[in-house]
Amino acid sequence: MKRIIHSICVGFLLMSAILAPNTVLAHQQKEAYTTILVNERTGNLEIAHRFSIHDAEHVLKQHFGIKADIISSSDTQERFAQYVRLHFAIKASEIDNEMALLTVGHEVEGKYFWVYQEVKLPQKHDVLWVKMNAFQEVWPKQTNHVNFEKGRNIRSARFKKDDEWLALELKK
Amino acid sequence: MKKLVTAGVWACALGLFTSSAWSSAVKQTKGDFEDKFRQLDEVLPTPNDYRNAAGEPGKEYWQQQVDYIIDAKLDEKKRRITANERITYHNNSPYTLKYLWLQLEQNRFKPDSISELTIDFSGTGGRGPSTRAMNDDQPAGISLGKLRRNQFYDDNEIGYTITNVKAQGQDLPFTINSAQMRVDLLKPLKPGETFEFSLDFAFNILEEDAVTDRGGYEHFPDDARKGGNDIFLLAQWFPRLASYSDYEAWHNKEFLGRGEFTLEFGNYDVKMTVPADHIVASTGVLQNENDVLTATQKQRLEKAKNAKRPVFIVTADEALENEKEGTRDTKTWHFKAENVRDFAWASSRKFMWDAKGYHQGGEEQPFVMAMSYYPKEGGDLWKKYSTEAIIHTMDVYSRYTFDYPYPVSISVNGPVGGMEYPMITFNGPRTTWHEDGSRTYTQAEKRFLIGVVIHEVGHNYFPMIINSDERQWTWMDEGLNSFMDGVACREWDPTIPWGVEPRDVTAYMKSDVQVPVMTQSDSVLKLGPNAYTKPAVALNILREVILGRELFDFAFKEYAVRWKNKRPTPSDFFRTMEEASGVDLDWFWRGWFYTTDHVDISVDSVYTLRLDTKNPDIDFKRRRQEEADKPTSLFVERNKEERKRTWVELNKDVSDFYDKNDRFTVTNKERNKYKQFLADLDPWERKAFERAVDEDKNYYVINFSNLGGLVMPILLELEFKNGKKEEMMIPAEIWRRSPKKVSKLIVTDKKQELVSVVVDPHWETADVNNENNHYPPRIIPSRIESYKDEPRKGPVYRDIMHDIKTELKDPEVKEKRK
Repeated sequence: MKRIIHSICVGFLLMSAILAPNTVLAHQQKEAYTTILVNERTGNLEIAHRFSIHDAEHVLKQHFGIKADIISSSDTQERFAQYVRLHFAIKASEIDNEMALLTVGHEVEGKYFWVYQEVKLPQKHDVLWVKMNAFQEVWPKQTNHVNFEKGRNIRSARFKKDDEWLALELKK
Repeated sequence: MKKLVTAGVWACALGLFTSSAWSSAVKQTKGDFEDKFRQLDEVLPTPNDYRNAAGEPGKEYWQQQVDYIIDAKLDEKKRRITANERITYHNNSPYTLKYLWLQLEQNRFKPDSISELTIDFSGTGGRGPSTRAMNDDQPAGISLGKLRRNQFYDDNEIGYTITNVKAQGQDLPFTINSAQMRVDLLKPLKPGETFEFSLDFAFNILEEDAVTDRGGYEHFPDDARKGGNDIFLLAQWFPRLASYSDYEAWHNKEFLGRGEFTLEFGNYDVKMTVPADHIVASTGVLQNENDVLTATQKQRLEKAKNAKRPVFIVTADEALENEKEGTRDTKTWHFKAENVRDFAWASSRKFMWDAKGYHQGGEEQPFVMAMSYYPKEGGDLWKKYSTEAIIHTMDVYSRYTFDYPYPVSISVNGPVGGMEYPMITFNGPRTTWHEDGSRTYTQAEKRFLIGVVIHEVGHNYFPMIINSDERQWTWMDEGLNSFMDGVACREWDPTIPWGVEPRDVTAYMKSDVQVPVMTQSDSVLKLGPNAYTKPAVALNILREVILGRELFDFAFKEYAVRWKNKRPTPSDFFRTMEEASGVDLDWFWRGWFYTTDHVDISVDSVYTLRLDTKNPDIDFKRRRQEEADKPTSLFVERNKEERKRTWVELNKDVSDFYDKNDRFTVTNKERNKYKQFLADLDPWERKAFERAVDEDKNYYVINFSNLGGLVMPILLELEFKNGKKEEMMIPAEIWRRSPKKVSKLIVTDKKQELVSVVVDPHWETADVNNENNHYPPRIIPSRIESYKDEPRKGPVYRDIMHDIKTELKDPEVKEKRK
C-alpha cells in the first residue's frame, strides 16, 4: 500500500506552465485535422496539418507570448509551422525511431493554416505509429484528429491531451 | 504498455452502435440489400394530439409556464449572490402533479455532483482544465489550470445554500439530489391550476477563468483601483423549474456540463442590488431608469433610438474613470421580461455602453434597442462592430424566421468565449495590449468578434424562442444556428471565408471516429463537427442542392413559425421540412442524421451506344467499319513486317464469290426482312422509329458507384467535343433500388459528342474523394503535389493597425563588391 502511494507521488508531475486560455468559444471544441496520405504515385507519405487561423494566433500568443498575427510576417508563419512540426511524429513500429520528415511548406487558405511534411513511402506502411499533440499544452481540451489514408482505406484517431503514440492500422 | 488504439476497435464499436440504432421490427434477412429510402416510420415517435404527423404542434399541444420574481443582491467583496425567489408554476398539462423538480445548476460544480464525480482523470468530463494519466514514458500530470481549479474549490464553498422553501406560509418538504431538487406539494396540483412558492438562495460566484462555467466573475488585477475590478456574468444563477413535457414528463437528465438546457417559458420580474457605480446589462426591460441612470445617460439613450451609428451611453473615458474608484453605496436595478425561457445579467463598473435603435417594423416588435457593454479591454474592436453585428443578425435571421420579438438585444464582453441567453449574449474577443499602452486587434480577431456576436445573437432564435431541447439534442440549436450564421456572415461580407462549406466536414465524415448526429449531447464524441458543422453542412446542401432555395426557405420558415415559443423535437423538424417542402426527405435525415455514412460517389465507366437503323444497307456498313476500326492482330502485323506473303497473295488466280463479298455484304434477304419490319410497325411505332433514325442521337450509359454509403443526388458536368459544358442533377432517388451501383442513360444530339464527365464539379455534396469523380479518369494531384507545383499565397490576416505604427527606417546599406 505504501509503495503504491509512493509511486503515485513520485509520478505526479506538473504539466505545462501555461494556463488554460481565458477566451474559449464556449460552444466549439478546439480541433485540428491531420491527413497522412499514402501517395503511391509519388512514392511519398504526405502529411497535411490543418489549423484554424484564429486558433493558431491564440496559441502563438499564449505559447510564445508574442504578437498574435502569424500571417503578418513569414518569419512568424515559419515559427508556427516549426512549432507544429515539433509536435507531430510518426514511426513504423513501436520500437522504431521516429521517421525524419521533410518540410514541404505551409500556406494560408481561407480560414485555415496548413503545414505540409513528407517522407519517402516506407516499404511496409500498413501500420503507422503516430503522435500529435500540437496546441494541447496550451488548450488541454484540444483534440487532434488524424486520418491515415490509402485510397478508400482510412483509419482515424483522435489525440487527446494524454495520448502519446497511437497505432493506426489500415484494413488488410 | 503504450496505448494501441486500433481503428478496428473503433470500427467495431461504431458498428455495434449503428446496428443497434437500426434495429427494427422490419429486417432484411436475405442478401445485403439496404433500403436507403425506407421511410422513418419506425424511427420517429408516433404522432399524437400533442405533436402531429405534419411536425406541427398538435391540437392538444401544451407546455408549462413558470413565472419568477427574484430579488437578488450582489456582494462584490465576497463575490456572492443572495436572493429571494418567488415562483409561480402554471400546470398547463393534462396531468396532476404531486411534486415539482428544480434544476440547481450551481450545484453541478459541487464536489459531490454527478458532473464532478465523473470527471475522468485525463479523459472526458468537465469543461475545465485537464490532467494526464501516467504511462510508460511520463508520470501522471496535472496542469496549473487544474491546480488553480482545485485551489478555488479549497478556498470557496461551491453550490447553492437553499432555505425557507415555503408556500402559503408553510414549509415545503424538499429533497436535493446532486444538481436537482424535488419540492413536494402540499396537495396535488391539478391540470389548469397554479402553485406559488418561494425560497431563499445564495451562492458564491465562480471564477470563470478558474472553473470554466458559462458565467462567473473575471478579475482585472491591473486596474487603477486598489485590488482591481471584476466583471460579473450571472447565468444559471437561480434555482429554476425543470421542464415537464408531453414527450418526457419531468426532464431529469442532470446537467453534466455539456448538454445545455431544457427550459420553460415564463415571465420574469428581477431586481438586482449592486454597487452604485456598476452598470447592469440584463435580459428584459429596465423598469426604473430614473433610479439608476443619470439624466445624461437617459438623454443619450433617447438619441440612440434614431442614430445612424451606436451612441455611447457610457463613454470610454467615463468607464475608465469609473473603474478607478469603488463605492460602498448600492443601487437596485429592476428589469422585467415577458415570455422568455431564461434570464441572465452582467454587472461591472468597467463597462462602457453603446446603443443603437433598430427599427424593425412589423406589428409585434417594431423597435428594438441593440446595445453592447464592454471594458477597455474590448476597446475599439467592440465600439465599431458589436452593436452593428447585433442588428445585422436580427435583420437577416428575421427574414428566414420571424420578427425578433424582444425589446432589446445585448452583447456583453466578459470572460466567456460565447454564450447565449434571451435578449443577452456573452462574447469573448478582445484587443491585444502592447507595451506602448496601445491596443490593437488582428483581422482574425475582428472576424471572430463579428462571427461570435452573430452566432450568439442568432441563438435568440434557436433555441431561445424556438425552444428545442438542448440537453438531448445539441444539433437542434447549434446545427441550425450555425447554418443560419453562415447565411448572415456571408451577407455581412462574402469575401471573408466564414460559414461552413461542405469540404470543411469531409475529413471528419470519412473518418472512423464519429457518432451519428442523433446522439445525446453528453455522449457525442466530437461536439464541434458533430453538432455544429455536419448538420449545418447538411442543411446547406439541402438548401442549395436538393430542395433549392425557394422550397427550403419556405419550409425552414414554416418550422420556425410553427415552433416559435414552443418546444420542438427532432421529429418535428424532420416532419415539417418534409411536409412543407413537399419533398420526401426521409432518406436524407436517415443518412445524414442517423448514420455515420459519408458521401463518395464515383463515376466508373461510360459506354457509347448507337441506335441501329435496322436498314441492312446502313447497319451492315457500320458493322464493317466497326470491324475495320478494331486493331489488327499483332500476329498478322508481324507477319507483314517479316514480308511473309500469304497463300492468297501467292495464288491470285484462284478465287471465288467470297473473295469479292465479305461477311457484311447485304442481300435482298436482309432487305426484305427490313421492309417487313417496317410494315409490321404500328403507325406510332414507325413514326418514333423513323424520327430516331433520322436524328441519330448519341446514347451514353454512365456507371456510378456509391462508395461512401450516403445516398445523394448525382451532380454531373458533361463536356462535349465542341467545348460546350452542360450540368445536370440526378435526384438521389436513382439509388432507391440499387444503393451501391447505378447506371444512367444520357442522350445527346448528334453533334454533342461527350468527351468527359465530372461528378460534383463544384464540391457541393461533401464528397470525400474527388479522385474518382472524373471520367476519363484523371490524376488529381494531392494537396501537397499542388502546393509544390505552385505555392499559393493566402489572404492577409495582418494586424495592420499595429504594423502601421512601424517607424520608417533607412535600409541597411551593405557594401557590395565584384
